[in-house]
Amino acid sequence: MIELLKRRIIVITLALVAVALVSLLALRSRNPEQGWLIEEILQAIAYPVQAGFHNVGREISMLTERYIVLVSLKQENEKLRSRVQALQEELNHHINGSIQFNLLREQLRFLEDNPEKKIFAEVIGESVDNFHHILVINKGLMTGIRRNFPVVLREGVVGRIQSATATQAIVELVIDRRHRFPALVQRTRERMVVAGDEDTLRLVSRDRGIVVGLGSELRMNRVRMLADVQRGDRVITSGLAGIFPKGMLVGTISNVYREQHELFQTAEIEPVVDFNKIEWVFVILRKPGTGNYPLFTNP
Amino acid sequence: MKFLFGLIAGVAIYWMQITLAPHLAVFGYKPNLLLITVLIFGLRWINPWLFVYAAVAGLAQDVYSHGLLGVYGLSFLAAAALANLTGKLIFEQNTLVIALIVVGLSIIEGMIALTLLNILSSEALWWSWFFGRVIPQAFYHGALTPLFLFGLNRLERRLTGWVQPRR
Repeated sequence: MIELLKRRIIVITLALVAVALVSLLALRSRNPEQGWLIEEILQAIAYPVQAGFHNVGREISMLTERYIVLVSLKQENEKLRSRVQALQEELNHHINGSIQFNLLREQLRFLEDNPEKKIFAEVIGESVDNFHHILVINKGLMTGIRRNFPVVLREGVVGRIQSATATQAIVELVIDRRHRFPALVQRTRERMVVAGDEDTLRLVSRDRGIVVGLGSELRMNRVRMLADVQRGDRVITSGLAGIFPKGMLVGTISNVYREQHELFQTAEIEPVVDFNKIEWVFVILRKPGTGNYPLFTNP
Repeated sequence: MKFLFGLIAGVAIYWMQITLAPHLAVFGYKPNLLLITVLIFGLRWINPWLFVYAAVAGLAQDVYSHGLLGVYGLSFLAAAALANLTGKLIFEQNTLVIALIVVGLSIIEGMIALTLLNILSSEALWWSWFFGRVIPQAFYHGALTPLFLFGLNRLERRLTGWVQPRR
């Protein structure tokens, strides 16, 4: 028996590992909310190196930027001297505007001082495959972050928390194909569903063939044919799905597709957030049990 | 000692994947360093630990992508098993042959992963992702294979007696 096991060790190991993985996949699919020890371990192993790599990379890029700045500093200094005088005059006009700005800033400080409402987190990693759009942030369960909490920037929506461990969390971006949420066209208040459309290849219809997209975009599906949707319209969150607070900017409509024989029209949205340049995000903390969001004003 | 060294090497490749791989992206295609190592190890060595390594590498990939634990775990495991089988069938293990096999097995691994994603999530675009992502990435893996083989050969020379190639 032992001899047989030794001879068949490769096949037996393969079968055991396969069974374990299928069981894990089945359990995970059934209960996606539950955290898994293996996930915690893999993220715990990754976290110190990921955070360290991020910090070293940031320092190197800052050093490079400083060097470039020094080289061009002399020329820039001359230009700036001449601009200072012109700006002195402009300053007077802006003083009046700044009074209102200061009032708004105080409101923002009030929000920032309350740690229960939103958390600042740095982006330390991204998706390791080519199919999904995620970010890894350096805050996790210890700071109160939980699955499905909304992730935003001042400019607009970023995504939702896909999973969280003690020290880090994974953010599923709104441009990921799995992500969809209800939104409104700000001008007409038309309701619709926004879905991630990050594919460079998109099949529109048989007669039009494959359309090559522009990159990271969002798409609005099932827009009523009679709905007044135009290029340049601003799209905001409707607050209905229970993920994002109402009124946050999503982006502007870049293209509208209308086909006479179809029941609905489709629109592409250019997101307001540049997902390739995100360095930090805010995670909005929901009050446990209520499902309500704290008041979040977009300054 | 051998197990410890293998564990450290595996963790190092995992760290490389989560930190360096996004910076090695060419035209937006990130290489999968973990998969390349799984395939090369599978082609060269017969060891039951290979399957454990493949499964854990796949799970690591799952954690840092869609979060459905087991999708890449299974596709990596299948790729490792196929690499083992292919290793038995090929006569000459030169760099070009291994690179071509890595391309082929990467495509098969991508097909398995996409099929599983398609079953578990309706949002996966099988054909679009297959032609738009899996195939370019597979060729990128093939281009990176000689570098990995070079590093592995150097490592083997230093550790003669531990990792014996199949031939």
